[in-house]
Amino acid sequence: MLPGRYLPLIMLWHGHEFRPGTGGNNSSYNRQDHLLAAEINARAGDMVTSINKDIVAHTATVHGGFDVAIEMNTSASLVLTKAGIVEYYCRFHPT
Amino acid sequence: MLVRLSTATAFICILSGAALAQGAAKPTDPQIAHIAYTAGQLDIEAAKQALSKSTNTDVRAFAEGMVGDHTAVNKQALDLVTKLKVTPEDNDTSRALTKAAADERAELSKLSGTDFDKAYIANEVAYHKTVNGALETTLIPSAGNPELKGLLQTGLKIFQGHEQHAEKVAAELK
Repeated sequence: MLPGRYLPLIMLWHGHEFRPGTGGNNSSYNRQDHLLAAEINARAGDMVTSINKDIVAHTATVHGGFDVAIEMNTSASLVLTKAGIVEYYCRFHPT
Repeated sequence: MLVRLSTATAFICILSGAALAQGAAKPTDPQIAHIAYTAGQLDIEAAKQALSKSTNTDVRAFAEGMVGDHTAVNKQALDLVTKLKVTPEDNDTSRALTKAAADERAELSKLSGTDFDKAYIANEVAYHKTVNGALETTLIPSAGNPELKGLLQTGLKIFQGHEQHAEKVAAELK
């Protein structure tokens, strides 16, 4: 919650582009490849947008947490409300 | 187990046989489009059978993923062949795949419960392995049109993910 405190976001996802939104965080990470894991840092209050540029649908899923479906050529955003590690995976492609 | 192994072996023979037969004349783009589309449709049919028979959460999630992904990829394929004015052409490889898949569905229809789940997933591992191998060694290198080649390459990455997913589910079923 403190300004400058970074949240490591571990992206276990593929076929997406991740783009931290406004919120004072200048870090960014673009991702369009498949199969490789990615990791970005963001701060509490930041919005993280996932753009699905793949030709199949994906999800942004956290065990016991949120589960958002992202069809191809659409995006989904979430605002980080607290510090901590967020492990995403795609429910359709959990490998 | 014997049934599964023999089916996987049949697929491998069919595809490598096709690759050999095409050694002199590699498959044309209309044939490649037909083979790729057919392989996807057959996996959708297999998944639908699984969804009608299985109650296992992981198996059903895998099958739902297969329906979603292969439907999406085949829609892209149809859009592309329409744009390129390519008419997919039936061929021996497509026919052999279709026959083998029908035989497998008939075998799987006799099973239920965990026996079905294990056999379905084992076949999915073998099927994706074989089709991915054919994409890598024959279909992608033979594709003439760059957009068709690109779609096949994108598809291969997705299907390699399916193979890994199937292997994961198979390991969990043991």
